Amino acid sequence: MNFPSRLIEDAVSEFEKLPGIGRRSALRLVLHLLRQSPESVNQFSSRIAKMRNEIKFCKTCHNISDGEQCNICNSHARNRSLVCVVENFRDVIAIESVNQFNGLYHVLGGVISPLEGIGPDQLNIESLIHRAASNEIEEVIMALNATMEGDTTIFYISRKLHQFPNVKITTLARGVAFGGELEFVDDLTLARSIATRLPYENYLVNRE
Amino acid sequence: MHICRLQLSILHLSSIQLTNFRNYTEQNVSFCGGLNILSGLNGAGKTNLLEAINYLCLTKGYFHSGDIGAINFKKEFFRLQGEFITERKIETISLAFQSGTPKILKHDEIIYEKLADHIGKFPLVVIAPDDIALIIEGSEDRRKWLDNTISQVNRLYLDDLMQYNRVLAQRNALLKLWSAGQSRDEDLMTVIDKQLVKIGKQIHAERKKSLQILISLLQKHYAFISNENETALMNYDSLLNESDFSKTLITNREKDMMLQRTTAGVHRDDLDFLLNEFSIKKFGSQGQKKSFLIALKLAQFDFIAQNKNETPLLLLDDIFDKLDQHRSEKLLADATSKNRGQVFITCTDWKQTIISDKLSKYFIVENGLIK
Repeated sequence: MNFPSRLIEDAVSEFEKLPGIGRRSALRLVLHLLRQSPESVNQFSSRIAKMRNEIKFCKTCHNISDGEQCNICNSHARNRSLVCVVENFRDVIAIESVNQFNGLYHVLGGVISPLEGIGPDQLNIESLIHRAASNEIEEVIMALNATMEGDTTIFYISRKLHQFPNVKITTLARGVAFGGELEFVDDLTLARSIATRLPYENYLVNRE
Repeated sequence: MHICRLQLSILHLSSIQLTNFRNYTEQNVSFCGGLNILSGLNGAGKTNLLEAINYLCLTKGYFHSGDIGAINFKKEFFRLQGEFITERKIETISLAFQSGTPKILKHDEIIYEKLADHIGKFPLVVIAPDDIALIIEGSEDRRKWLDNTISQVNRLYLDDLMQYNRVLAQRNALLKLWSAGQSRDEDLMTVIDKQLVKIGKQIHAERKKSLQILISLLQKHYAFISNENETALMNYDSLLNESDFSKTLITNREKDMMLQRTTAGVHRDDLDFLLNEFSIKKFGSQGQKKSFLIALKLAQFDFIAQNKNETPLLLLDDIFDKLDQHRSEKLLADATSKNRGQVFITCTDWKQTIISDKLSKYFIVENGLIK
C-alpha cells in the first residue's frame, strides 16, 4: 500500500503496531482522525502520552495506579489478611467486576516460563514474600490461569511461602461452569471434573 | 459396483468430498459400510484417498507429515468433508487448511477450539507397507504408535502427553539457561521436576495397563496369521518400571545441564518386539516382521474396539503388493470377518483377490479421479 503522504504513512505505521490492527484498519483509523479537528486529535494524542508518562505501579501490589499506592491497597474497607495473586491487571479488573472479593491483590506481571526466558526474578514474587513476612496476611489465593506455566508458578510460590506456616494457600476451583449444561462442556474439562470430583457436602456449602 | 447384503448400523464413513487435496482437485465419493476396494495404477491417488480419511478421523496425515504438502500443486488451500453414520445420526466433519493459518476442523458446523478434542471420536487403524518403520526405526515411531492407540480411547491420556511435553520443554529451556550461566534457582527446578514426575507417572501407568491388553491381543493375532508355533511379545522398556523417577531426575541434574536436555523420563520409553524372546528387529525374517506388524495393527484395532464400543475404520494400503499370498489371504479373511466394520483396501488389480460375502463396493482410481 503506497501513500501520497509521508505523514499519513508514519501515522498508519504507528497504528499498525497495535494488537489486532492490520494495515487496512490502521489506514481507516488515520483517515478518521484526519476528518477530526486538530484540537480533538491533539487531545487524543496528549492523553495517550500522559497516560504512558504518568501511570504508576502500586508499590505494594504492582497494580496500575495513579499514585504511589493503588486505591485498593489504600482502602480501609478491604480485608488486609487476604491476598489474591493474579497474573496481570486485566485479572484484577475481572475479579473486581464480580464484587465478590474484598481482599487485596498481588500482580505478578506474568507466569514462570523458562521457554520465554521468564524466571521468578522477572516477576513480582520477592515482594509477595516480603508481604507474607509482615504477619498481616492469613490467606493467599492463587488466581492464575489453568495452564502448565500457571501451575509451575503456583507450586513455586507455595514452596517459597512454606516458611510462613500461618499463611494458608488456596487456589481457584476448576471444573464445570455454573449454569453450564454438561452436554456443552468441553471433553477435557468434563473428564478432569470427574477425576477431581467433590464430596456432595462441599458442593452444598460452596453453593451458598 | 454390487451390493451383497444389508449392513449393520455401525460407525462408517458414507461419503467424502475432497477439494484441492493432494492429486485431487474436486471429488465426491460415496462408500458402503462394508468393504470398499480401490484399484488403480501407482500414483493414481488411492493412498491419497486413505490419507484424506485419516485426516478426517485424526486431524493429520498418516503417510506424509506436514499439511502444506497435502495442498494440490499450485492451489492455496485444501478442504475435506466427510459424512459419518453413527448409531445416533449423520455427523459431518470438515477440515480446511490454508498455508500459514491453523487448520479449521468442524463437527456439524461447530468449530473445534482444540483439534485434540476430535481424536477418538471416529477411531481408525491403518495398515500400510511403511509400517515396517515401527520395527526397524528408532523408539520414537513405537512411542507414537502406542500414543496414537491409547489417545484414541482416552482423552485424558492425550492431554497428559501434551502437558508432559510442555513441562519437558520448560525443563530443557531452564537447563539451557543454567548452562549458559544463569544463576541456578534449584527451587524452580524442583517444582518443574515435580510436575514432570506427576504426569510422567500417569503416562507410565496408562501405557503399562494398555500394553497388558495389547500383548494378549498381539499373541492371538500373530498365531492366526503366521500359523507357526512362535510366541510374539512386546516388552515395555521404561526407566519408570524399576527406578524412582523423581530421584533419577535429581541424580541426573548435573548431567542434564551439561547436555542441555532431560535424559530420563517417559519420553525415552521404548517397546521391545520379540519372537520367542529374540529381538525381531535383529533376528526376524522379512516374513516374520510382516506378520508381526499385521498382528500388532489388528491388536490395535481390537483394543480400540473394546474400549470404545465402536468399530474403528480399517484402512489397508497396498497389502497384496507387499505381502505374500498366504499372509494377504489371512489378513483379508480377518479384515472381512464380521467383527470388523468398514474397511478400505487399495490394490493395483482387484481381480486377483477379493471375494467376500461382506457388503462390497468397487472403485477405479485414475489420475485423481474416482469412478
